[in-house]
Amino acid sequence: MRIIVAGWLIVVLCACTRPTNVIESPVQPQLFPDYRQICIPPNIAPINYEVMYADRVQVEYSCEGRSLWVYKGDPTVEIPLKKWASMLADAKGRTISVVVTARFKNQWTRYEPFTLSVSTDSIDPYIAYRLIEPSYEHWAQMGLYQRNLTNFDETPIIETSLTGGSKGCVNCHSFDRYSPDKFLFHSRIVNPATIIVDGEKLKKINLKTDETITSGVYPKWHPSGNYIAFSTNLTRLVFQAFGEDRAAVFDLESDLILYDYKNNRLITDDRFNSKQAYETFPEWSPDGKWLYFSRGDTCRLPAEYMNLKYGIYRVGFDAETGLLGDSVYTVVDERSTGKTALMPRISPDGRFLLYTTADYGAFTIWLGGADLEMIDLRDGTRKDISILNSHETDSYHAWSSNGRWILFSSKRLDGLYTRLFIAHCDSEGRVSAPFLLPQKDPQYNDLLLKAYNVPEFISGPITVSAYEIESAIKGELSPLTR
Amino acid sequence: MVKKMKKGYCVLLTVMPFIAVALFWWLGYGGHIWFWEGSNLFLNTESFLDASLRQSGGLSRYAGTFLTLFFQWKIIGAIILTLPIYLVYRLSRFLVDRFHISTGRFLYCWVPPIFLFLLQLNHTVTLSDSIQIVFFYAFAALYVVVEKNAMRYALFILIFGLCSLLLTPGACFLSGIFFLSYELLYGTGFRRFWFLIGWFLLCILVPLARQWYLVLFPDEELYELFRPTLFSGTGYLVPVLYGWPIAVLLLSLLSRFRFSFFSRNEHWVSFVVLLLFLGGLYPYTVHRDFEVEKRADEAVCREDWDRVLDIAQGERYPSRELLFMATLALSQKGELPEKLFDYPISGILTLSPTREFEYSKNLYAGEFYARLGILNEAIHRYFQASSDSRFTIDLRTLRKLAELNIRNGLFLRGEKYLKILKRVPFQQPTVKHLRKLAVTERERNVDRSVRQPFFVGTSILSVEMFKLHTAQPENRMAKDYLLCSLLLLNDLDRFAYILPVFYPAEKTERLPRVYEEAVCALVSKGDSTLSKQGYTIDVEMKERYERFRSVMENERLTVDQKQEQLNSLRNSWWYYDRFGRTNEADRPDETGKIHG
Repeated sequence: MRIIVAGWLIVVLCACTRPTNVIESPVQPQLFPDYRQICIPPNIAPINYEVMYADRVQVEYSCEGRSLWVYKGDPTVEIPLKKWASMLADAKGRTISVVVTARFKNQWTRYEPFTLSVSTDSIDPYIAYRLIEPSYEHWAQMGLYQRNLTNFDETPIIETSLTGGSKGCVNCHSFDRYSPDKFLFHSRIVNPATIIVDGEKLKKINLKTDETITSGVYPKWHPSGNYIAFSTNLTRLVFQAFGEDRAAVFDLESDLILYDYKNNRLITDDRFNSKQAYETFPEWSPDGKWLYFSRGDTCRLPAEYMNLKYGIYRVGFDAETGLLGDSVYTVVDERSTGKTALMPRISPDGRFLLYTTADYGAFTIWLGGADLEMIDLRDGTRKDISILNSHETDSYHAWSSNGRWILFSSKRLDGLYTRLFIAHCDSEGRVSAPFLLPQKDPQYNDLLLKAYNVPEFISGPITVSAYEIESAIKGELSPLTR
Repeated sequence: MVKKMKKGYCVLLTVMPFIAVALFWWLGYGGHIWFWEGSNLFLNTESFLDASLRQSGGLSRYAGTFLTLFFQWKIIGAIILTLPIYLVYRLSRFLVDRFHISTGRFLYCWVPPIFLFLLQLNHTVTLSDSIQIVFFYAFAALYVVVEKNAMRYALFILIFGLCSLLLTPGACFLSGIFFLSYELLYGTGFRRFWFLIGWFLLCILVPLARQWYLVLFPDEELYELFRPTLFSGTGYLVPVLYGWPIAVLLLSLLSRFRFSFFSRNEHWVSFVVLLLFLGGLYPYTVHRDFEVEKRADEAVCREDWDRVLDIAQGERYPSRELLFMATLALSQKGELPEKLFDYPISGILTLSPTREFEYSKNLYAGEFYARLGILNEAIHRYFQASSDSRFTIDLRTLRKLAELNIRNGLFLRGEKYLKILKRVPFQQPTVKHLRKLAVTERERNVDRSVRQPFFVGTSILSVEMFKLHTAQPENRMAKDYLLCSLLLLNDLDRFAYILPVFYPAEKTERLPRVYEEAVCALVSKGDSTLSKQGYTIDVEMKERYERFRSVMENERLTVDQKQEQLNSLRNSWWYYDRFGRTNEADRPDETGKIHG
């Protein structure tokens, strides 16, 4: 008798969750984050999402007619790590079809399937970024973090709670050829310096000299690992009374300098240290023979802020001598486009230049209309990457080490808190729809009150501990060689 | 019968102080309760619970933040605040009764709750901390009533070693003091003393080991979980650490001299002791300004401008923040140029928000800019305030950021905050209201594109107000603040130049009082710009000014005598101008910048 009752109970419970009287819908389901019709790396963490407005859902994953996994439960679909890994392994180079059946107020609806293309191109296993409240002047706490892309592990590299509390600042991390063992970042305000991590060696330097307007700001490692290009920026922040962009950031002065890491000396070139132009955002070509940078004509700031425009230029570089070439070439001319072009990033194969553009300004993160653009450096043609852009700021971007994935930050979810998006880019520069960095709980994106800054790929986990970095920050400065 | 009455009498005397405490909170410190509700955050999400539990004392914090949600009803807030005090008292009584302690009983029972009460008043403990202290006393009670050593040690390790780290890490050190004093004074087993010393050492060594060797707890979260709060930076330990040993010393003194009076009249004595604290000068001298400021702040948020002005009027020496709110209230009532000097204005900073990284000041500045119509700056200030709040964001800033972003047409951002607010219990009506506001704002479809940059915070108030007036000619508040700030800065040339633009003489029947006073003085001094305008000056005004001038020109009078004779004209611009309550730091330098 007990067995019969228990059996009935099981049947009744199963009936409660199994879709019955299902209505077919010709549209795809609404998901948050929107992971429909995207291309994903074969080693990415589970793409968990919520089926919007649903009470319960059933989700069927299949590949070429073969069922991979069926999920039944609440509308937040959290895929177990192991199951997801095996699904990706099964579907590598193919497409996963996802059928969502959702219950709204006791009515089940089956939606049009959507697909996930599993690329054969892997993505670097780690990324690094800064998390900070986008409050411009003052923050409670910030830090540099690394995230394992194959799962959801996020660990701090350094947090300001160790270095200076709400007054401390850490920023502008840059890695030598994606290496987690050789990188740098700046500590600001409290114990200001540039910290260079090279294996087990940590070095604290200050590039503010009589020749430079400030210490180093935006950095970029030369592919040889022997030089680091920095901009020096006398940055100001002002606040707009009206309009969507509250803050305006500009440089009263900005120059380029080179730091000879091997010989611990500073290299300056008068052409890039003049008051006639603003130079910023250095970037090296993968072969190390060209230094790309943004340059704009000086103007009266902040009054003429809306006329401030930068172009992208390049100059030759001889790694043997550490000297910059004679001629400066225009890559993106701000006069012809009528727009500002910033943050040049060259793909690892040297073919594509990805940059941010906006109507005006020096710091596109705070410009609502900022978009990504890409040109083919072989022939100068513009590639259509509009699929990456949104009506909100789409700005800081990075290439994966194999050049097949683009990581960029965007404010498209809420207009303020930047989130990270990943998109596939094939060898011809065709990009697929970007997808939001997967989180274990999709609601994390809503609840997190911090913005992601400066996302960069790294080839593995950073092993130097936060406490060692803290010691370096609080330690003695290494003097530069004259 | 006699026995029954006596018992009832005792109960009444015991309960009455706590009723008094609750009434005290409700009636006397409503501003505090309102402030605590706004500066609290509780989210009904798994991640919030998870994040809370990962911190030392996280469970208490979770409970405390939840209970603080009820502070939106002040009477419930008052009762909730009183409950931990009452529980601490009951637990102390339980311990005293359990061990038949008669000498020093009243002190033993009342010192902990009085301390807790003072700490609550002092803003050094949150409700979460109060909960921790209650748990600490509960554990202490359990510990001391268990007679079997083995059982007691097990309890000590289990409860203090594990549970208390989640519930009462702040009490770990306190527990040591409590048990040490207990064992020294009344305890018998000497091993208990050594055990406690060991616990003390552990409390001290854990953070030291971590600080110096980074070996034991290199993981931040693990350390947070096991950190005794000795070095945690929560300020409430400081006074307790000093206060409790003093109480113990007193206790030992009393036990030595055996004051039989206290034993016989313990209820009366305890009642009187508490009343002394309640009615004493301490709370009203130390925290009255804060309470007054928060009451005014609450009235500003409720747009009860008359109440703001009443509060400011009731203060003999209102703070700069209170005057700032009073001038805001005057401007909202359209009375700024009429009654500005009815309040003891002490310079431009009583009119202008300061640019300081301080929670409350940013809130006030945010409210100012919201009223002024510069919503971007209002949002910015609230955002800065949220960064300074205990939880990175709190209920007040959350509600305000949602509202201001919606009003500013930034619906995505508004929705972001609403999604969070939706997860806060009791906030559904607010969410519903703000969603309606969003619908209305969307329908208004205001063009918010900017053609000319207008930067805020880069120049002095009068310059900003001039820019704002240029951008929004109908903004009355900008006009009032511009003219009043010029008067406060004694920038009379610009005042004389701008006044006719805002108040053309041919269209002005009578100028607002403060402007009229300035015009009266300037015209009589021969100001050509204003003389040409032909403003009508009231006869009575002219007489008042003549009286003022005659007193000022009387060389036989000292400054004090002049001030005394001009007492009835204290609320005039002339008086302000002459006796200059403007700080030097508030005056602009030659470039027009204020350094104060």
